[in-house]
Amino acid sequence: MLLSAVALLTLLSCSPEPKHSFSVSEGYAVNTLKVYASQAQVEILFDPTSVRGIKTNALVGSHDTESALEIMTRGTPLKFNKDPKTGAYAILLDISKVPEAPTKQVSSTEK
Amino acid sequence: MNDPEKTQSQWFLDEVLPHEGDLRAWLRSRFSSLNDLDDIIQDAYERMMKAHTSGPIVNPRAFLFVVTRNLALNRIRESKIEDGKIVEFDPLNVVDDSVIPSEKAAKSEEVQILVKAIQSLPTRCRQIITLRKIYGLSQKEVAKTLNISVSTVEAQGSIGLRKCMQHFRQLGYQTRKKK
Amino acid sequence: MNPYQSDYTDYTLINQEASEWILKTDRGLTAEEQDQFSDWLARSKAHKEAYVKHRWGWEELDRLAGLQTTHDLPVNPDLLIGWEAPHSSKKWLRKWKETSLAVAAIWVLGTFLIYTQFNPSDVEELSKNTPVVVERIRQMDLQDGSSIELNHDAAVLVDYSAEERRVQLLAGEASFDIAKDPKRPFVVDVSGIRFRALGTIFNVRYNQNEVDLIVTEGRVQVMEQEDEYVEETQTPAHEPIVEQSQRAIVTLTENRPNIQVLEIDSHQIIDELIWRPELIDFNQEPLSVIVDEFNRRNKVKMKIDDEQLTSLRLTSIFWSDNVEGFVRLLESNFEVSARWSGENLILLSRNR
Repeated sequence: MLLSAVALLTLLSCSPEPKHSFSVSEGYAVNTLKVYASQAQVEILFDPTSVRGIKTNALVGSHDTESALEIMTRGTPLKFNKDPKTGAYAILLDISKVPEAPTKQVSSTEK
Repeated sequence: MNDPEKTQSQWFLDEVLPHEGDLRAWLRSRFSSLNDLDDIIQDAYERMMKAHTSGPIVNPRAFLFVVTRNLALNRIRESKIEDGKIVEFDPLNVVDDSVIPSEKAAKSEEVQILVKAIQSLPTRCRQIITLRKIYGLSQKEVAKTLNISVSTVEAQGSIGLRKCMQHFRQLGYQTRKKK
Repeated sequence: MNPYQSDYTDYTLINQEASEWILKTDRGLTAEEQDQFSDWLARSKAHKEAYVKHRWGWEELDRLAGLQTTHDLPVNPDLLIGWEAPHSSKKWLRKWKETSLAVAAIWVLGTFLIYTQFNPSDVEELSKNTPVVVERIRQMDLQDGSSIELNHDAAVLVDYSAEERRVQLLAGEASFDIAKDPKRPFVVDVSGIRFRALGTIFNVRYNQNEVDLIVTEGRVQVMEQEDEYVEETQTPAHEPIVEQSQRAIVTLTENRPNIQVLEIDSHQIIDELIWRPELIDFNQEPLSVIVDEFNRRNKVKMKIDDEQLTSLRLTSIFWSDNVEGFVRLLESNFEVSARWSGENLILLSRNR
């Protein structure tokens, strides 16, 4: 009995990143990030003005919260930072990744 | 509770042995350079049984880990008496998660006296003894945690010990005689 | 050290030396010290005796290892200030072997984050992160459909068996939403007091010498926990039933607990239960609106101390009790600087 309680607590306290099932379509970050957050069961914070017009990649399948966000923001000018203590994420625009030429981010180049 | 022998081994089976698995795993990972883990664990058990026969132990798991760690650190120091690379900053956080302190032990007169003795110490002494004995931090870790020098920990620690001993004397601190 | 020439033994000095040797051996003697130590021991019987005595004393203190409860993470050098032995006269800790084998007992903690957060002297600490692997558990969903919400300071032990659904509230505050199960009563044990419920929603707060029960739905009976070691010679004490919109305040005194049942109105219920964490969702709201919402629900408040910040607009999904995480993210990502003003106020301003 003692061992199982310990194991359980160890599980709760030091578990490797749990995975979640995701299904987020490609879309504007202002919307998709919230969908991501509810599927990942994670807290997020971002400035909607700064991410305006930026699209995130589609995300499906089983991933841990961090990998999922990475997939969504790959190739976009978005970056994210995690609060290690509480696990909340801030999502920001990474100026260095914003393309110089006015590359169309939006729907006109959609397949 | 008639047969002291039986109580002892029952206590051991219930309160100590279940932790051996974790203890071994933890020893192997933190003290990988040590070979004689069995010896160390045996010594720790002996120490525990001796303590158990003569008085209360608030948290057997914590006691086990703290004692084992002290023994392991000693072993390492002995084998490298010069400038050994001892990984010391490794706060003992295995003990805080699983087992709740024993209420019975915590309410015992002995524990009350031990606590009062520490409470009556001057601030630095009290903090040092608390970290060293309740949390099981090594002196180096105590120094780091409190942001003081190791020599202060040593000096104030010995003052703390002396004052505690005075307190024990005044309050007639007695543990049960070893059976 | 002067050699002693006569029979006079200076115990003060010997005790001092002995205790110093104890601390030295405790951190490990150097080769040179080994020799000095052997010499010192050999010098007189009184030295040996003093050493043995002090060694005994030093080892006696080991009995306290692990005295801290898990609330005291990380290490707290001032742990023993105000520490008192558990006062209850009843056994609140069941021995593991008595636990029914049907279900593993689950030992869960409300939070591990608070210590650093509520330490006003650590002005800098707000943005420094010590990696902590544990996870805040706010809600536990139990196998029978019941759920327990845990406040920051809660420590709960769940013990379901074939006969009984039992939860021990070892500390702090929790809110219970209990599924009906006529075959198994649901009980919450707090320091010798037992709350028994059938299908109810209620809140229990355990704070030092008082247990505060608020019933939002259904009924809860207040009893004293059975003490298996005490002969049942007395008739059962007053065991009131607390109904919806009522509150019971149980004061834990020496001899018998004192139970007071009071009416409570819906405003009071809301105030008392506002701690219950919820996910709050903001869409492009100014920081001032977000801060107000957090402040409504938390003892620790934030204040925007800078004109420039009031208009910062944010989108977020955040637990209503995660003030700490919110502030840290603001600091590290949104050019906000935060500092404590007193114990319960955080001032936010624009980083220049």
